Amino acid sequence: MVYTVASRVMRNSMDAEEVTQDVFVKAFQKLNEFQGVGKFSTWLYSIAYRMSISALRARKDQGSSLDDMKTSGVEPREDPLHPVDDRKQILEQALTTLEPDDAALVTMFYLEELSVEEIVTVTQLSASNVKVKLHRSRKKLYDELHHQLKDELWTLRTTA
Amino acid sequence: MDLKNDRLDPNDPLRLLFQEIGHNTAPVDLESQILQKLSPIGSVPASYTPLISKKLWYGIAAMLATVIVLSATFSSVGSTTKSWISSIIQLLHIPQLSSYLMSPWVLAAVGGAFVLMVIDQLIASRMRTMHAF
Repeated sequence: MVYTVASRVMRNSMDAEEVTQDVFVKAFQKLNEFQGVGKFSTWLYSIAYRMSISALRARKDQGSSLDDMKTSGVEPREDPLHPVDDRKQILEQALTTLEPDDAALVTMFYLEELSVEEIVTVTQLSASNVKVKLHRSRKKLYDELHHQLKDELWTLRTTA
Repeated sequence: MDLKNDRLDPNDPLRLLFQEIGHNTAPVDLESQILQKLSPIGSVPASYTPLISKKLWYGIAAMLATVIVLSATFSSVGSTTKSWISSIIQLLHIPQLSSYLMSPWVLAAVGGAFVLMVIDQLIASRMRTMHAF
């Protein structure tokens, strides 16, 4: 999960790997700071999220623009049914249309099923800000994915 | 997503899609790379603080030396000439000092200090052996 959050923010496997390594080293060093009040995973995600954002800012300062990493969307596909790998690729591409921190937020919410309260703890954002970001990201993802996956996205709902 | 209740709809297609696709697959060697980075941190030797400080050892040594000197001095019973330590004790007006010093309590304290010194040295040597690896 740490690697997933890092890769969603960094959008580059090399950088995500580096951040993941640094996250575990930092977590190991700061282990005594874990109070044991909340979940360990939430504490670890908060380190992962903060370090990913810091690494992204550092990379941005070094010259890479965030705009370069965002894509304007994915070309429509011909075939109506996509294997899982294709859907993964489409989702990954749709996620790149979001801001990196928003992509990490939706990943925590939908994949890891963290509550808004837990995401607030991880990101140190206000609850209303988290809700707005999730709402906005969700709408954007729906638009992108609906365009790409068409009825397939809704089929997932009925077959689950 | 139910924003009012902050709950995730289990049938939300986005949730289902995220769940189906799962986590990004980390490179195979990532775990070993992390462990490699962690190993030097884990093997940093813990700072060793002696059980008995150097100052206390000096105090114990001084006490031991005093006891030995006094024992040697007062063992010469019957001697007509007074030793210089006896003179000092007399000058200090502590006539029972010699009996205090030679009491079982003092001897036990000195013995105890000696035992502690041995234990301290043993622990220190063991710590050095552990961190040598």
